[in-house]
Amino acid sequence: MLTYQIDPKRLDLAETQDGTDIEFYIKLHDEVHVDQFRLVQQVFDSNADYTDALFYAYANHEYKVIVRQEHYNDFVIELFKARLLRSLEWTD
Amino acid sequence: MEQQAYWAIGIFLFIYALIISEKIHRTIVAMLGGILMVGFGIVSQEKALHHIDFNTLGLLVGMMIIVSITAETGLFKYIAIWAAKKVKGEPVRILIVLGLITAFGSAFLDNVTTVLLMVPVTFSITRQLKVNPFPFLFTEIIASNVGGTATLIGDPPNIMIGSAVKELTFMAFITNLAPIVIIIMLAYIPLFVLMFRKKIQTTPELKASLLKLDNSELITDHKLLRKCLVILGLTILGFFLHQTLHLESATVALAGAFLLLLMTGEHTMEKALSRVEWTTIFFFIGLFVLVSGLVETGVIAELAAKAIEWTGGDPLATSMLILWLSAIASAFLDNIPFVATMIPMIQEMGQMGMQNLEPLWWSLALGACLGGNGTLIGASANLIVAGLSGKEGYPIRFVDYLKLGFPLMLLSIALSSVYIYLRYLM
Repeated sequence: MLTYQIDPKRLDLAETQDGTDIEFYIKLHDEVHVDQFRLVQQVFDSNADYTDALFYAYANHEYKVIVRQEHYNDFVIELFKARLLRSLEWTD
Repeated sequence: MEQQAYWAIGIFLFIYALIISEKIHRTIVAMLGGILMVGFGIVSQEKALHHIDFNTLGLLVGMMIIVSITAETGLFKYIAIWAAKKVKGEPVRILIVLGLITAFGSAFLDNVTTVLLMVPVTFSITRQLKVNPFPFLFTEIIASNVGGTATLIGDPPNIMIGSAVKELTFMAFITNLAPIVIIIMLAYIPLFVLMFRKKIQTTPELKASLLKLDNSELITDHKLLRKCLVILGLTILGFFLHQTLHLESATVALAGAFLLLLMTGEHTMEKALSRVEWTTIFFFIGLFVLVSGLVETGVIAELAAKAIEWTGGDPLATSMLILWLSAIASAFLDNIPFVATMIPMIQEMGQMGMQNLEPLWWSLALGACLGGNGTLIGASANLIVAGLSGKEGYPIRFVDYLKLGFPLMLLSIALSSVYIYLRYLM
């Protein structure tokens, strides 16, 4: 299982299970990280899979992302690659 | 008929049965069907290649490239979300507005292009509202085929008819077909509401969540958007002018696609080409060769000639026969080879002394375009949506579609019959 630690200076993050999907609620703290987050969105929007991760933007840099179970790891890894997470670790 | 014609009919029916059964992917089946036609010597490879409509394939590939790049800018998502918010996030109203956007888009882009734009945002909205995407996708399929009927560039049969009959200009298509298209859409809207309103219920919280979406975040690349809008505009203008410029629609679409790639670079090209729906392209290729077996052995010509013989040259009977025959045939066969067969037959009727061919041309256009709504394999837009939906985990079954689509198609043809009679034959 992939676990992570967020960087509270950069974002607030909460995740909930919704059926077979995972919903992430993300609030970014500044513009720089919004740009990084957009890169994450671009990865999922530009592939051929339309429902792997669906991004919804709200005011004040708040986002909801609905991620299909099988793409959970991909999404978390992309957040890490965008330096929005502090650490990423495989745990049993 | 010769022995080969019976072989062609046998292969054709066997392959169509396999496609309908959905046991094997339709692209594999159609390609194997085409290979059987060539392998059994029913059509030579050279003639089979001649029957592949590269104008249609080029148009599809070109528009898929333009759409895939433009979609990355967030433009279409912006329009759809904006419309969904305007109707207060109410699923039934969203179903209608997305249907209307699809119909309008299909009239000015081709209907395949339009559904390619609408499907991703439909998934986004339906997932947000936690409603089944099928009613929305179904409505968009129907709306795309109806909307595509309205203009010369909206659907391949119209492109073919417009190319063959120079008097039928872009404006002639709009003035003659747009009124009945509007009537059909107005008749469909309450039916969509009746069919689906109970299946697409959501909660006030989810609606509120949709209303809170920030539209300004949806346009992700303003610079790319400007380039895409320029190319989209030029491409649509090219479609308007393609007869004047003596260019096939595929040339216009491919020119637009590769001009856009020139402006956006190599990296974009690889991504855009990888997003072309190659399974659909190969399905078309297989179908073209499969149907070529029937064309080359004279089966389609014989069927159509006998049908026209039955009417005795009466304009009303001939128009109604062409309308209904085209609709039923287009529901089950690819309408492009069918229209290709019907065009010279109607021209022949003119040479045989029929004075007013206009109602026959509009009957053919209406029958071939609207008939595509009858089954899941009736039109390219249907196949594209079904393909995308299946890939995303929401398969659209042939029979499920047939139960809803076929009666709607019959209704549209009934309305068209009245329209043709009142406007041209009374």
